[in-house]
Amino acid sequence: MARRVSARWLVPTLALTLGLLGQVQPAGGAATKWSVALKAGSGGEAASLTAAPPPTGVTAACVSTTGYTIKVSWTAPAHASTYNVLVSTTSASSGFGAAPSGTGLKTTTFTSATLGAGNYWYEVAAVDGSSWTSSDVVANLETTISTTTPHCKQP
Amino acid sequence: MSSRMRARPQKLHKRTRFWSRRSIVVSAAIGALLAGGGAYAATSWVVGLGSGSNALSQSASVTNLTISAVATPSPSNLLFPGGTGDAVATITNPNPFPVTITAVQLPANTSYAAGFTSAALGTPQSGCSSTTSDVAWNFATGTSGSSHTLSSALTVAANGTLSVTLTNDATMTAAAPVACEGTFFSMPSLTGVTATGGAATVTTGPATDSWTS
Repeated sequence: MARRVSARWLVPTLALTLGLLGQVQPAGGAATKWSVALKAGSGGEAASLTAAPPPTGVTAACVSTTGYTIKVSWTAPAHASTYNVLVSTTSASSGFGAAPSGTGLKTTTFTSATLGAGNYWYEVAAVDGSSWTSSDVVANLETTISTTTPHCKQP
Repeated sequence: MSSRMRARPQKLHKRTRFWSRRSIVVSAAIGALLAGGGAYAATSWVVGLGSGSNALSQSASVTNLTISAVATPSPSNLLFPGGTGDAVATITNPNPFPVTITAVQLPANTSYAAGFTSAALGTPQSGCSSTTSDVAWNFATGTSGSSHTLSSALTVAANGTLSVTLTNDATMTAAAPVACEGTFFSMPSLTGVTATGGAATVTTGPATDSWTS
């Protein structure tokens, strides 16, 4: 008699157990991976800087009053990888061209080669990566090289 | 006691044994049906994203997640040559149960984003296309489908959406052209996600997350 009762309870118990198992796992089991397609051409949106940040605090100064060289210094902006130094003997706003040995610098200072007599203006641009170039920032002061002493002077 | 009355217990006993076998068969069938079709109430389904394929034959009740490019919130970290930036996306879960994403699968690192002139991603940026932008998913490898675990799991509500900023998960090579300055990028499609369907605490949006390796 006891065996009959057990068999009757076994039936709903088995059904309930299997049913609950079915709700926990998909047909393929818990390890089943369901593939789901993504909307074509989407995955997120990013944006880039509008331009490479320029250097700040650009200064030009005589290395010494008895010499014929000028040292240019600046503060690195974010992301910059190299710098280009330009020079003009015309004015602070025109006539700039690449300074000799002043392209692709990895440091934040530049010292000119020996210069001839004249007035010099320097400016610096930062480069991000291989080609993003910032705006040029002109140095604070004009520098004059003279054949008479002092050979290097500033206003 | 008549012979008829004496025979009844035997008949009842025989009937009981028959019911037990049939019940076991029926129970097994019901169990199998529930196992194969336990749909909306499921509590630990594993859901993934494949390489453009649907495997919904396993259950017709699970619908694809979608991950879409969105303009807002604006990314805080912007891309620059040799650097990384944020990618912003909206994840849509059309299923009637929450889905928790724990990892993403990325396309190869040679799959580049297309550049556009505005956040609406409507007008292509000249010279900054998906062949020239040099913008890809960060930590993507040379092989498509590499899997990257999120720093925190993201749970999208049932029939809900979740906006998420993926911090510094976009990258731009140092050789990116000048044409890609000031550009908005539609990131390459993810090849998949690792996700689980079922009850979980829904992530509050907009969320911030990332993979870091």
